[in-house]
Amino acid sequence: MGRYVVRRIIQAIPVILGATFLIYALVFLLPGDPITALAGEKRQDPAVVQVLRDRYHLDDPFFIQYWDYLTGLFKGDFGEDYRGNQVVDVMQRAFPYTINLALVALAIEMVVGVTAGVVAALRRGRFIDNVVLISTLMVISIPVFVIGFVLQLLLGVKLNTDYGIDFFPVSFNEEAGFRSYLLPGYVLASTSLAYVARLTRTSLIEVMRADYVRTAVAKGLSPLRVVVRHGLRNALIPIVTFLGMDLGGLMGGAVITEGIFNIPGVGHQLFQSVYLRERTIVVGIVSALVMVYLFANLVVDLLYAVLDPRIRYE
Amino acid sequence: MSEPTKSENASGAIPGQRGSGKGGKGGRNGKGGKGGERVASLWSDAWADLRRSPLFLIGAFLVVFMVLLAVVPQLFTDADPRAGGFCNLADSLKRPSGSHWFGFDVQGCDIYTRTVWGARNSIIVGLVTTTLVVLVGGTMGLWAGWIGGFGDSLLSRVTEIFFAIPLLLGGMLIMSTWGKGNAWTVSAVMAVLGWPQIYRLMRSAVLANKHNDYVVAARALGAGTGRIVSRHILPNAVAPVIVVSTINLGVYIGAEAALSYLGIGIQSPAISWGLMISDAQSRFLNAPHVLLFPAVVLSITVLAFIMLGDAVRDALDPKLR
Repeated sequence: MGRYVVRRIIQAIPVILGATFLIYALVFLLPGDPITALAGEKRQDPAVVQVLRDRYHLDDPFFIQYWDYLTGLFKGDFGEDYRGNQVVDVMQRAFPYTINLALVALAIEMVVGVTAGVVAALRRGRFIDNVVLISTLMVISIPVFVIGFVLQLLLGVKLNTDYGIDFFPVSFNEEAGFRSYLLPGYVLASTSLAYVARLTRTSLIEVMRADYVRTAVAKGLSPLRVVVRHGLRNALIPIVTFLGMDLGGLMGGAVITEGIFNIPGVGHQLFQSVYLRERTIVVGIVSALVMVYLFANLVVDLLYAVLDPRIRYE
Repeated sequence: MSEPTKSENASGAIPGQRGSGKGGKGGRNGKGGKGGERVASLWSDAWADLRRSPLFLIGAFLVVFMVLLAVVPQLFTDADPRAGGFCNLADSLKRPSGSHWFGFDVQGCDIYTRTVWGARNSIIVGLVTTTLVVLVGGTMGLWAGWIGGFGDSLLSRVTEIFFAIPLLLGGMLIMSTWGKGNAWTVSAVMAVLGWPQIYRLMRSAVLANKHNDYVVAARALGAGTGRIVSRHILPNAVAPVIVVSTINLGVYIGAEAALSYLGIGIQSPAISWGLMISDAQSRFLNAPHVLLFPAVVLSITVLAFIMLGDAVRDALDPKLR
């Protein structure tokens, strides 16, 4: 298994290189001069501009700049932005919010999505199954930002003004702590939650037809044990795959959710940095997200063996 | 060479003959509807299933309706949102009424008319993106799966890179670089980011089929590469591509709205539902109707394509028979 992990990490290197190159090239092409952008309307001293341009090697050819960036990256140096902040510091400030948000979203996806899927699968063709199928179809169709605004209005504002329950903060505040993440987490999770529910349903229906499930029932095991230990455990593989792939999407989707709920996370930072032409921050954050995605996929592949002992890694 | 064009057994999925021809793009070999006899193929069975599926009927009705909105908005409204004097600030944020069903936005423009005219950009983005993705991803996948070897490995590594970049993030970066946000540029950007998905589908379908007995038999009978690919490989790959593309059409429409919502998709004065939602967001608490009407129509459009795709998948999946 150790060798498998090493091989996977080696395989990930070209993907990381390709992705950083692609993003670096895109960001390099961003219109507007980042140094001019620093001063806003003010006139800049040409000498200062030149010093800054030299400091950030802005006059070097593109490939030299990329090479410098890449060698820095492999030493763990994400560079600094045009205001002199270390990109690592900026990311360290923003990432905890997004990680919290993504974890809350992931937890909601797993608990609500899998539960809904299991219930639908066990009551296949009945009323509750149709409720799950139709509601998930609707949730998939409604854009995330609309769900965000509507829930913000209903749970954040109306619940407070009409019923006096001040449970979900309208926008992020540190004092509310964990509660601040619930609503945005649910909004962020909504689309994937619907997919998880549908995937669980399909997968479980298929597994429940298997011989070993019939054997388990025939042995006289309790229905709960049959469903959880024999059914769900075997049905989980496609779901875990989806969740792993989705983690990257969740981090990316945070751009919209964090905007609506005013969370100072990575998505918020990224959106601002694109506008401020802060190339190094944009490249740093997106590269980090790509690495998170690849890492999550590796973890998923290793989880397969836990779920299904027949799977071996050579 | 003689092709078995009239096999009665349904087991051989030979989608060269497409029964009544209405579900697909008509029989490719031109013999499909000649004698008028019913040929049991995967496609005619699927079409028979689809005609009875409420999911398909509702989805198809909604799609046709939306396309109609996009092509001839004049059918549904007399007003032209591009004409001068269309907006009147005195009407700003007025609630829905009998003469103006959806009310007015902050500029005093009639929301109903704008929503009707906004369909065009969404449908263009959906159709153009899907066409580009299928053409590019499909061709590359077909080529990579058929040729194999170094080109295949290289392309597959490249697609991994694209998979690692989320659609929204990549779209945000490219659109802010490019700047000129209109339906065509947004479609092009999403196609650039979206083709790997169809590539993978196509490639795996080719790999799964290229060593099958009937391919070997066709080759033994002297069929050339072009004939084998077009008559034996492609028909087997078409079903999953159609299903995924239909669903994705809805997803792309949603993604366009998200980009426009973020301010880097379609730009004003062009009309886009995402843009309308974005303009309405700051006054959502006081005037929710300005945001909700375009949002509901947008959701219905996305829903229609997803329903259609779902129904087609159910009909084409032989395992469910």
